[in-house]
Amino acid sequence: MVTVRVEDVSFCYDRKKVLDRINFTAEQGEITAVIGPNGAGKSTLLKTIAKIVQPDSGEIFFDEKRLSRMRKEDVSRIVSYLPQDNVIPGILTVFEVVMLGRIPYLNWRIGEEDLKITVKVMKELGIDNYAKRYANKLSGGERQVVLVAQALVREPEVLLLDEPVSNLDIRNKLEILELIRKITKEKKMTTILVLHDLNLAAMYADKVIILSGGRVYARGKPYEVLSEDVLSSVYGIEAEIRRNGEKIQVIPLRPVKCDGKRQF
Amino acid sequence: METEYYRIYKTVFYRRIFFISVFAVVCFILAVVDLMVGPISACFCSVLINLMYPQNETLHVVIWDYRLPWTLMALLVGGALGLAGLEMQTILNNPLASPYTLGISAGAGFGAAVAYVFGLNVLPVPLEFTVPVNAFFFAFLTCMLIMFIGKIRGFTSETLVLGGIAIAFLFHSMLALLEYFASEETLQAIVFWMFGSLTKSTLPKAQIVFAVLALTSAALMSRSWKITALRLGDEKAKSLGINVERMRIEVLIYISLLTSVAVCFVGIIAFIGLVAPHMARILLGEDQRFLIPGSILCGAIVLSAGAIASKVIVPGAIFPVGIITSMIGVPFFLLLVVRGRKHIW
Amino acid sequence: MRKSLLFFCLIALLLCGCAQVKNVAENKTKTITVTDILGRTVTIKTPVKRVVLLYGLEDYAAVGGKDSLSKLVGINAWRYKMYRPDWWQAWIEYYPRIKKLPDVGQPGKTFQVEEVIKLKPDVVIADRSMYKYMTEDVKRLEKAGIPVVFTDYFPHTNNVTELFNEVNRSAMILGKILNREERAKEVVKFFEDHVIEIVNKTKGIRSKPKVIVFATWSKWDAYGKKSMYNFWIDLAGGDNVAAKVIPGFSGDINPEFVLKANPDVLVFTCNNNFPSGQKVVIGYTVNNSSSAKEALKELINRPGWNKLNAVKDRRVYIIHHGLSHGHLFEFVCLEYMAKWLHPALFRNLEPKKDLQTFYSKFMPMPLHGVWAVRLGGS
Repeated sequence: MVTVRVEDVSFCYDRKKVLDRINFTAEQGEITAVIGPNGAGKSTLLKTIAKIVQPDSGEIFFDEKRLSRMRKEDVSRIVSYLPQDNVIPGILTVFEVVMLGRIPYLNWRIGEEDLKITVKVMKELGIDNYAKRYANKLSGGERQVVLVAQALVREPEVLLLDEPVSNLDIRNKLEILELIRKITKEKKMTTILVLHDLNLAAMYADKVIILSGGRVYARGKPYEVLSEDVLSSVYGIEAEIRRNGEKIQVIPLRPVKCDGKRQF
Repeated sequence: METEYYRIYKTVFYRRIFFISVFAVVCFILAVVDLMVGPISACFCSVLINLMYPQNETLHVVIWDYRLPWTLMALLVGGALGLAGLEMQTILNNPLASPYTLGISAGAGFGAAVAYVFGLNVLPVPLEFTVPVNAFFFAFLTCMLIMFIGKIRGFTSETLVLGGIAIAFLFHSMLALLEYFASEETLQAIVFWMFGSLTKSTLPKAQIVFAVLALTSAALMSRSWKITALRLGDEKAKSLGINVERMRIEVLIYISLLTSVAVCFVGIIAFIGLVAPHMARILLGEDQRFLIPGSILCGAIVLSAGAIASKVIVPGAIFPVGIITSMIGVPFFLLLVVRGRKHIW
Repeated sequence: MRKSLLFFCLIALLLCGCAQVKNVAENKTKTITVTDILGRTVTIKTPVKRVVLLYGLEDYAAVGGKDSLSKLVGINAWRYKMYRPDWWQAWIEYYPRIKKLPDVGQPGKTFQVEEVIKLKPDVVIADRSMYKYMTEDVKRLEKAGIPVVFTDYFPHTNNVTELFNEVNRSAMILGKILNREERAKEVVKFFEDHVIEIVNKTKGIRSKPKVIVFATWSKWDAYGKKSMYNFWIDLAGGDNVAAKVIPGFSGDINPEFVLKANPDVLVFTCNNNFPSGQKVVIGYTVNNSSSAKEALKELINRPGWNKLNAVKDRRVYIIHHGLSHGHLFEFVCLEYMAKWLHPALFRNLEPKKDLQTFYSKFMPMPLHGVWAVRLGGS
C-alpha cells in the first residue's frame, strides 16, 4: 500500500493557473476528500495523480517512487480513477463492464485470476446477482456501484473518485460512501474523493483538502478545517456550523453579498 | 466457487462463439451460392470439380476468371468495410460513423477521376492499375490530412469528424469540378466507378485485399482490449494506461488502409461499413475480440448477398451492387433496430 | 444603239436591284411560324440573320449550306470540345471563324442565358434532349423576344416511319428557318433512301446474327433495349442479345452471359477520347486504322473470349460513337451494322463511301479520318 504525497504541483491550462503549488499527503487506509467551489482545480488534481495530466512543475510521490518516472501502464495497475462522466457502452453485461476494469492485466485469453477477482468484487459489492444484465438497464445507483466495482477489480492501491455520488438519491449516496469507506479500511487503500456535499465530506472523510483558485486553502480533519470563515471566503456563503465533538454539520444559509460579481 | 465464475463467463463466451460460427457458416454458404449462380448453370459438384480440374473448359474459365474473383472480392471487401466501419465507430465513439465518414470515399473518387480525366498516375504502374492506385493514393492522402488536423488540434472524435467532413466537402467539390470539365465518356467512366461494382475484380486484386485485411485484423486483434477501452471514454481509457491519442492514430491508419484498398478496387459501396458493425455488435456485444471477426463476417455476408442479388435480379446483367446492399441491408438493419430488445450503442 | 440598249438594261437591272433591296427591307418585319419537334409553335422573324446553335452544327451546315455558317453568332462549343473533339478539330480547320464565336455553353452544365440574350439572335436552335435542362431559360429567352426551336434526329424507335417523320420534321424546321427548304428535302431524301435500301433487304431475314455492342468506358457496359444501337441492329436484321438482359439504355452485362450467348459479332463504340489516357484511335483526326486494331486486340483480351464466334471469325469492330445517333448521317451506322451482320448480302454496300458522298454533297468540308475498323481481315 502506498502513501500519496503531492509536492508543489502546478498546472497551467491556456495560461491560466489551474493548480498552483499544491502540497498534501494522502495516507493509506484513509479517505481524503477534496472540496472546493467549481473550477477550483479538484478534477485536475485527481487527473495529475492518475497521470492523465502531467503537472508543469512539482512532483507526486507514491511512497518514494516519483510518478513522473513511472510508466503509464504501471501507474494504471496501482491507481484506479473513476472520472466524473462515465460512458458505459449499451450492449455489455454488468459482468463485462466490471471486468473491463482489469484491462491493464487482461490478455487475449482471459485468465482465471481475472474472472475470480471480478466475481469476488461483484460479490463484495452485492451486484453478483445481476452479472448477466445489460448495463444500460441499470438504475443510477446500480450503475454507480458497477462503476466502483470496475475501479476496484484492478485491486488498486490508490483509488481516485471524481464526484462518485452526485446525481444519486440520498440513500444511494450514503450506501456508496459507506462501501468506499469499508473497502478503504479493509484494503488499506489510499482513497481520494472529490465531493461537493460538505456534510458528506465531513461524515466520511478522514481528511479534507479545500481547494480554492488552484491553491490549497486549508487541509486537515473536517472538524478542524470547516468553519464559518472558511466557507465564507472559499465559497462566498454564509453558513452555520453545528459541532458535536468531532462531528460537524454544515447548514448553508445564503450567499454572501458581494459587489455584484459572482465568484468563480 | 470456481464453477460459478466460470459459468457466468462461459455462457457469455460460448454464446458469442456460437454467433461467430453462425456468421462463418452463413458466409460460407453465400460464397458457395455465389459461385453457383450465373447465366451458365452449374451445380455444386461441377463448381467443386471445375475449381480443381478443368473439365468443361468454358465453365472452368467462368469459375476461375469471373466467379471466383468476384466471390472472393465480395467476401474480402465486405469484410474490410465491416472492420473499417467498426473501428471508425469505435475510435470516433459515434454509432453513425462509417469508413467513409472522414471523406475517404470522396478522396478516392477524386483520385479515380484524376486518373480518368488526365490519365495521370501518381505512381508508375500498369494501365489496369492506374485508377486503383490513384484512388488508393488519394484516399490515403485524405487520411493523412485528417491526421494532420488531429496533430494540430488533438485527436478527439469531434476534431476528426469535423475535419473529415470539411475534407470530404473539399474533395467532393474538386471531384465536381473535374466532372464539369470531363468529356462524355470520361464522365460516364467516373460515374460508373463511383457506383461501386465487383466487375473489376481479379484474383491478384483479391490477394491484395486479403493481405491487407489479414494484417490489419491481426494487428487490431492484438490490441483488442485497448480498443475496447476506448469505448469507455477518453479519461477512463487513459486511466487504464492507454495512450488514447496514439491508439486513435494507429487504428486510423488501419482504417485508412482497409478502406482505401477496398474502395480502390471496387469503387464506393456505401452502407456495409455502417451496418455490418451494428449487426455484429447487437449480437456480440462490445468485446472487440469477438466484434472484430464478427464485423468482418457480417460485412462479408452483406456484400456476398448483394453480389448474388446483383446477378439474380436481372439474369445476364449486373445490377450495381452498391444499390442492392442498401436495399437488402436497410430492412434487415431496421428490423434489428426496431425489434431488438437490447440497445444498439 | 447597242450601247444605249446595254445602258438601258443596266439601269433596269439597277432599279430592279433597288426594288429588291426595298422588298427585303419590307420583309424585315415578316415572320414565319414553325412547329418544333416538341410540338411548340414558335414564331421567328425572317430573314434569320443571327443564329445561336446549341446542337447539330453538322445538320445545320448540311441543310443550310456553307453560307449559313456566317449567320452563326454563338455556339455551344463546350459540347463539341468535350464530346466530339475530333469534329471540333475539323471545323476549326475548315471554318476557323468557329473558334472565335462566343461559347454559350451546354444546357445543364455551362449554359449562359445572358450571353445568348446579349448576342441578340433571331433564333436559338437546340436539341430535344436539352429541353429538360433549360425550361426556365427558354422562358427567359422568349421573354427577351428570342425564339427557341428544338430539333431531334436521335433514333428513338425501330419504326422507320416514325424515324423518318422526326428526321424530316427536324430537317424541315432548319430548312424553313434558313430558307433552304429544297436543300432540306434533298438531305432528308438522301437519308431516307439509304435507310430504305437497307431495310428492304433485311425485311425477310430469318437467321439473325447475334451481336453485342460494348461501350469502351466501362469494361462490361453494353447497349440495351432502348439504345440507338439496338434499333439499328434491329433494322439491319441482327439480334442484339444484350437487349434481353438490359432493359434500359445501357448497363453492365454479366461476363458469363457474353460467353453463354456467344455473339457472332462484337462492336465497340468510342469517341476519339478514350478515358485513362488511352490513345485516340478513331475519328476525324485519325489517319490509319492500326491503332484502332491495337485497341481492339486489347479490348477482346478477356478470359474465355477466344472461344466466341465473333473473336474466332475476327468479326470484331469498333465504330465512332458520333455516327450512331443525333445527325443526318446516322444512316451510316445502320449501313455498317448491316454490312457487318450480313456481309454477303451487303457485299456491295460501302458505308464509308456513302458517308463520303454525304460530305461532298452537303458538308462544307471533305471527309477525313477513320470511322469504323474491323479487328482482322479487310
